Amino acid sequence: MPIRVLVVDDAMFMRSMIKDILVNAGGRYEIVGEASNGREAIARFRELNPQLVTMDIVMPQLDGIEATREILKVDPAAVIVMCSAMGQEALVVESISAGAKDFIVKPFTSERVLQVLAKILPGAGRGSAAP
Amino acid sequence: MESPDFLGLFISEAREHIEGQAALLARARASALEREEIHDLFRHAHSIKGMAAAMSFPRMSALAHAMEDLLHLWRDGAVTPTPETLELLTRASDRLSAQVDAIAAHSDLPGGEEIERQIRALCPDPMGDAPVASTAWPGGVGSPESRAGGRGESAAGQGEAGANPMPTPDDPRPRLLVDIAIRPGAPLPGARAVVILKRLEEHGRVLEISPSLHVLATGHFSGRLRVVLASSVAPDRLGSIAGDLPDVAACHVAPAASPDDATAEDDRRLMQRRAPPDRRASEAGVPGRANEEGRGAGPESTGEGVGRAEAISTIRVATERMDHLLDGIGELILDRERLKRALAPEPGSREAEILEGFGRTVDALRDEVMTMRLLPFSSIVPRLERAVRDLAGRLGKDVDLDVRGTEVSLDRSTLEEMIDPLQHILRNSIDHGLEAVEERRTVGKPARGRIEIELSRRDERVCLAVSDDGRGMDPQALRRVAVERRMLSRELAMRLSDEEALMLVTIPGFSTATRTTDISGRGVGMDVVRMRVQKLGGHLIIRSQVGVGTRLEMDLPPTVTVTRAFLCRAAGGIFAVPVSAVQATFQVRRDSVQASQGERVLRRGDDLVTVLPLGGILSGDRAAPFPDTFPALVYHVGHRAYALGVDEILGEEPIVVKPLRHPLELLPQYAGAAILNDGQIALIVDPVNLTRTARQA
Repeated sequence: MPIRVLVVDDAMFMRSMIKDILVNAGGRYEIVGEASNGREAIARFRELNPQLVTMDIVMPQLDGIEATREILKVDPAAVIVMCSAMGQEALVVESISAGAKDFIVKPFTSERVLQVLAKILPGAGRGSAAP
Repeated sequence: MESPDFLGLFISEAREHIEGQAALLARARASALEREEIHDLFRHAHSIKGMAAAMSFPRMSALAHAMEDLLHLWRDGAVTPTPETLELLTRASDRLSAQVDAIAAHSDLPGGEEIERQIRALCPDPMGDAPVASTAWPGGVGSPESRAGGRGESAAGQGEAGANPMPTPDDPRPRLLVDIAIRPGAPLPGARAVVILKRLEEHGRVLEISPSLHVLATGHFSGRLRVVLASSVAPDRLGSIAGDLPDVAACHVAPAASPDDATAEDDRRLMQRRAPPDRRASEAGVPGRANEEGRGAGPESTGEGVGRAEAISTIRVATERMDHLLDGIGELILDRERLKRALAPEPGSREAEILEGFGRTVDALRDEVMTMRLLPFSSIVPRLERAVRDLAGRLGKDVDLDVRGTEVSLDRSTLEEMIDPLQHILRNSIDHGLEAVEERRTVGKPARGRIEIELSRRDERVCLAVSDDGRGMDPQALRRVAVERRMLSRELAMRLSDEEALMLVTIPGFSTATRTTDISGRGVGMDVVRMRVQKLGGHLIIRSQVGVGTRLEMDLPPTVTVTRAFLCRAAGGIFAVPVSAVQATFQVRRDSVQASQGERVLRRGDDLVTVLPLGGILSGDRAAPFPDTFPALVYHVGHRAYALGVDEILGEEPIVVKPLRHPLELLPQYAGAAILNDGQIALIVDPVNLTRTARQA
């Protein structure tokens, strides 16, 4: 069974990049939804109950850190991975302290993203990054 | 397997962000921004930075990064923007735009290092990569002050001390010293260290860490992390758990004899448990994220309901797909006409009824797509403003641009096609139209030149006017140049009305001539402007008054591609005349036509109507005798009424407008071509330009 993923980023461009990486990971991931701001992310999370959320930090309306907190209230076991840009160390630290499991840093590389995800999702198959 | 067009997406989304930025910066120059707006500015820069980095455009990413840092400080009140700051940010935004343009054109990116340096110079805390921390981590990664002057430690300690007493180090489990080296070059090593701490927490209790969380969160972490953990997990096992985490280069776990073993570094402090969220938030003092109390009344209280509605209320569609949709609908409309003809149903019959319903649906569909393609003029205003700023700056002139009616919408493709011509026009105004400051003072004009762009809806058309308060153009001088350059005979030149003489600047090659003699003070690329406007189904009119200014008026169809037209037979061919250009059709009796000042006219109501034979004009024989009666299409050019005589009006039909290919596009009397039901091609006649051609011939 592929891991069901919700992709959250205000830039469609970034969402496409993540989606591209995940759908090309040998069927291990399935994108079940997308959201472009924190509020939408919370709503989509409730609706879809994904196994993994990739969460942008800086977004309009509600940022990724608040959205992470809210989602963890809904489901304390939610697996949220922050998508950060360089130079956002403080925000990532805050996100992790808020309960996010890990982070990936833009610009994304397929190998890197899959490595991080594989390590926090035991079911995703270890070390078998797509070529 | 999908392979999205990342570059295309990148370009269009980056442009949206840059334009959002430009609009906000323009507003900031007029009045102080709300905090939310500053945050939006920050967010735009942030998004551009991330996207550019993802696409490996480091110069662009670096420039956006510098902007982001400055905007961050501005948002948090650490810097107050001066007009110079805004000017600098505007220049940076313009440069980003130029970089995107270069990316789109596959050319080399212009650098932004100098602007970047200037922006960095405005940041009071030039600490490299780290924006000023605003995290709500309980360890109190705090304000810039908490970092400066070594007070970080105490500031960090304060918040927690009250909230949560030091965790008592009386855990009965063995103490382990975990020594971890983060892989050099790992992104955000501090954040990585925090993730590691969280993982370790799953296996025990973190008693001490070194360096402090403050250091980890502010980007000054060297990559070596030491943690004292109370845990019953075997050291080897813990070592392999930690060693398997991303970006961990090496990990060593050993029993720690006493707390002091792990305290070699002066920067050490105890790992803090997390405080309750409300407390953390108020400590952090980050508005928007912090005020838990305000939340009940804030936007969030509207809750998920709103979020869900937003999630499904808009989608993004590539314009190309919209074009396909419109093309398809155009074909559908033609199919309907073919069907109608093939079935030729009796009025009132079931077939007629079905066809009618089909027709209504297709029309509704067409209107829907046309409306979807509409964009407000405001969407291109930032680019025009940028063009004016650039040119005015380069030419050392002070120019105010005032744009009115920006809510008027046009088809997306029309808007895009008009950007170039509008930039041409603005360049002419600034370069040639507007006088230099001293000259303006001498003639008693305000030192700042003024350019106004005005949009209005007029019936089915959109009127776009660009005017300046510059030196204007002299029709007499233009006539003289045309004669000198042997473009017109003296007689013909003198017969031109002032309005027609002004149009001389749109003749290819004329502009260069006038430029060298510098009489008109205008004209670069005006031929291009006119051609583009015509191609879009519009007309260009130039008005000017010497010493007062020049005004260019363009009327454009708001939507494109499908139009209704009269199909007419003339000169042995079939021509289409857009219904929107025609006020009426009527039968002309030859004996009602009289000669007057070399033209054939007739009286229709109060109007004196000039009769022009379409066939005669096209075949070059304007004076060909009229048949006894013939149908004519009535239209106006300015205030004058014309009747275009044809052999036969075949009917009124929707046509799909196809642009003419070179060199036919050079013929102004044709607005395009349409493919008819039987596969024949009909040229689409533009009556206004046809009239001009006829009068100049």
